[in-house]
Amino acid sequence: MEEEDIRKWEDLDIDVLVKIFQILDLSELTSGLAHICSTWRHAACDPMLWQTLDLSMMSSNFIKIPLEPYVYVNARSDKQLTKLLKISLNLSRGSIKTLIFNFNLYVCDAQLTYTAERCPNLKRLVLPAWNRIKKTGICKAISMWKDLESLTMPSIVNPPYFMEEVSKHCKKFSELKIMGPCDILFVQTLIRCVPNLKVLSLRCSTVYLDALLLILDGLKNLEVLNISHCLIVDAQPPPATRKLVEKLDDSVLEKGSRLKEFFTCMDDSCTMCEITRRDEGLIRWYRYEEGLWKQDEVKSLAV
Amino acid sequence: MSQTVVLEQNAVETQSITLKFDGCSSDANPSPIVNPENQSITIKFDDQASNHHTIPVSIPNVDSETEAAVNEFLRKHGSSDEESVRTDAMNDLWSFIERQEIGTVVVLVKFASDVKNFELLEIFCQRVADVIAKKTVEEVREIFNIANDFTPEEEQAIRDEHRWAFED
Repeated sequence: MEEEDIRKWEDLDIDVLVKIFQILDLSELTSGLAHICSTWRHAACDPMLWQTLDLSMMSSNFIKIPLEPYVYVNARSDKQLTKLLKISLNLSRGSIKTLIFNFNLYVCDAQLTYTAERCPNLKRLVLPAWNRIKKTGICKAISMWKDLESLTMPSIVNPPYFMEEVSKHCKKFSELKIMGPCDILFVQTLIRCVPNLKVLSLRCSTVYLDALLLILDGLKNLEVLNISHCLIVDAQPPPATRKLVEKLDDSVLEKGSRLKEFFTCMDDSCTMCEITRRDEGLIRWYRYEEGLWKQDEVKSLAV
Repeated sequence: MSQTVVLEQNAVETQSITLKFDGCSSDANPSPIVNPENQSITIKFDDQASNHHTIPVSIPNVDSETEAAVNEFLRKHGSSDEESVRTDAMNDLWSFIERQEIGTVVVLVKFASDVKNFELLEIFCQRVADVIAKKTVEEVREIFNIANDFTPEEEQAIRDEHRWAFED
């Protein structure tokens, strides 16, 4: 009687094992559970565990340097990331739909390509730091993500090369968050390349007034716009100097009200507004509490 | 979740009835509802919320102290809608579980899964997760008495995978 009743672990529902594994964090999950026995390996590869790969607790050990790419990442720190990526991507078996990198995790081209190849079903990417990624690297990665719908990226100097790749490969693309200044070139590129864009967040960055007006007029399918805590800059031609817009005028508000959701906050007493002002429109997230960069008034873009 | 039992006429004249469903006994003594028209008696067990078993359960393969602790949790947790009472019940059970050996927790996980009690399952799974989180492969196998059932080829592949993960 006792022998039958005493269950061995292998007899436990895989579902229960998966439930236990769901409690563990990424480093615990990748520490060897898949090596215990074949049942545990099977459970460790369960798609339920790998819908999201969240690396936002990892930072690169880096220093700033005066030459491109302006950061130098310690080799050991790089190897650690590579190891974690290799094990996670191996266990994930292509299940990953959401991939999150920390704002100061400086991924290199090789790591990005390796990851992209193993996440063919990716729907959402949060990649705030492109310092070590070359144009060829990011374009190659984008070409492998046909199902990409949502992207969080830094501001880039030359948007067209990138947005054209998105336009070519990511037919379902609909959500964008830019963590940095947004100018008229960027908006023109968005209108040309991703006219179906539904959701755009520019929070906590510099937004030029002409760009803002073009967003409201030119992105015809936009439903949600977030310009909370932004520095809105009215760049006048010389000899006039640029000035900050303190209050949105009625025409802007009226156009904004036609959207499903229009998030604004330009408040002297707001902490985030103050932080954006202090950092002059490009926030140094490392100065502030961990996780602050993850917030967004748009729920689907919050991390 | 409520369970309804309807008894036929002949069964009820003079006898007392002990009912068992799903391994639970009917010590809780709910009031029967008599229907003279079809001469039936209906006994309804109403739980206060779904998935709560307020009737004492019997758990195979654990000692009486453990069974009592789980039943105390079920009783306390199911007895009130107040957050503080429920949290107390969970904390008490948690303290108890932390002191038990892992074999017992394994049995409890299986039990909780079988009876679909999600509160119990959460507590027991958390305990197991805590135990395995910081252990090596060998330690985990030893603690849970798990046999390594990989073939030599699979073992080699796993060792290779681990080594490759360290390389560039």
